Amino acid sequence: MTAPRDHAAPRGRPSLRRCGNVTLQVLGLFVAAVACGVLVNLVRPDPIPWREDWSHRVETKARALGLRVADLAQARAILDEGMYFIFDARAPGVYEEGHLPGALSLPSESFEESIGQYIDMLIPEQEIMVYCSGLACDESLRVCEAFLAQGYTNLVLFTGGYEAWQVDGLPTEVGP
Amino acid sequence: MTAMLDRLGIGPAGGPVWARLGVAAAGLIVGGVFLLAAWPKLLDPGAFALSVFRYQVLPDAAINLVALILPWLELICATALLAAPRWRVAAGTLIIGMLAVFTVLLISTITRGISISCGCFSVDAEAATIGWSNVIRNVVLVALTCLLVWSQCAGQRYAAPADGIGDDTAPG
Repeated sequence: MTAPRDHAAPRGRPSLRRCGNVTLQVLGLFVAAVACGVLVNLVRPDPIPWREDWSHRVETKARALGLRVADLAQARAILDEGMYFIFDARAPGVYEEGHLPGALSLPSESFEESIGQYIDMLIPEQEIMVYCSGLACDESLRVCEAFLAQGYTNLVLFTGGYEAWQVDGLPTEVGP
Repeated sequence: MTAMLDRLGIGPAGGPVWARLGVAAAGLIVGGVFLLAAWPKLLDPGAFALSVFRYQVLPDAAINLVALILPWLELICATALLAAPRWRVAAGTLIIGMLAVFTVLLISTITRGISISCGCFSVDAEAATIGWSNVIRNVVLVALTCLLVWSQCAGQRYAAPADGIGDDTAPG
């Protein structure tokens, strides 16, 4: 003998019980995604490596473009020399919070609009150093690519960026 | 109309038709958005890996794996949400989780002042830079997905004892 169904009982009582075993289904969907991702990458004609050296990607690409890459000591020497235009490729907000002494703001996402204010001071042979937040950013690389496209060739990319500068306790400037 | 909604497992059984259609629309929007988001990443995982790298949060070892797996997770969840009622709660739960992570990442990127494109619907590095509109969009999507998951659970809770519609044993 079976007990009569209580039709009123489920109402008003939140429960995931009748939604199936959600945890198992979530795991199932995740495993399916992992399997698809791995299998498709194994068979596709243009697979990507499972692991890549992203930390040095910017440096590698910069060298391939023919840019000079500066470490912290070289960046300091360039600043002391005073012959270079130093450009900060980060967003204006973080630039104002702190930047290398004498650096000018040139955000990568608005290069075309921002370069106008400096263009009269720059000649194609001008020595230029660009940096962004650190090793894991590529805004400086994008700014260098934009400079290259405009015919500037004397470019230096400071890969350590503001992070390396700050960690070493070197002087910085704040404000616009 | 009610019978069709019951067959498709949409909304709380016994609920008003307009509410159930609203839930269906929410499902179409969220599922559609995730399908659109997955497609360009599946076509070009290398470019998507670059988008992931630009967020500056993951270690090298994780970037390409995320770029390979995440688009498939988006595609599978969107498909489940749109076409498999029995899997809707699980897919919705995963989508809410993904959106929560994406939203935290977006806020973190904006506050860190990193100027990058979202990588959400395009892997083009020159696409529009991340802004608060991206965060608002994600919050709306989370709300829609929560509504979907809740209504799916409620639908199964109400309908199951009476006629089996929406029950675990019912055909999808």
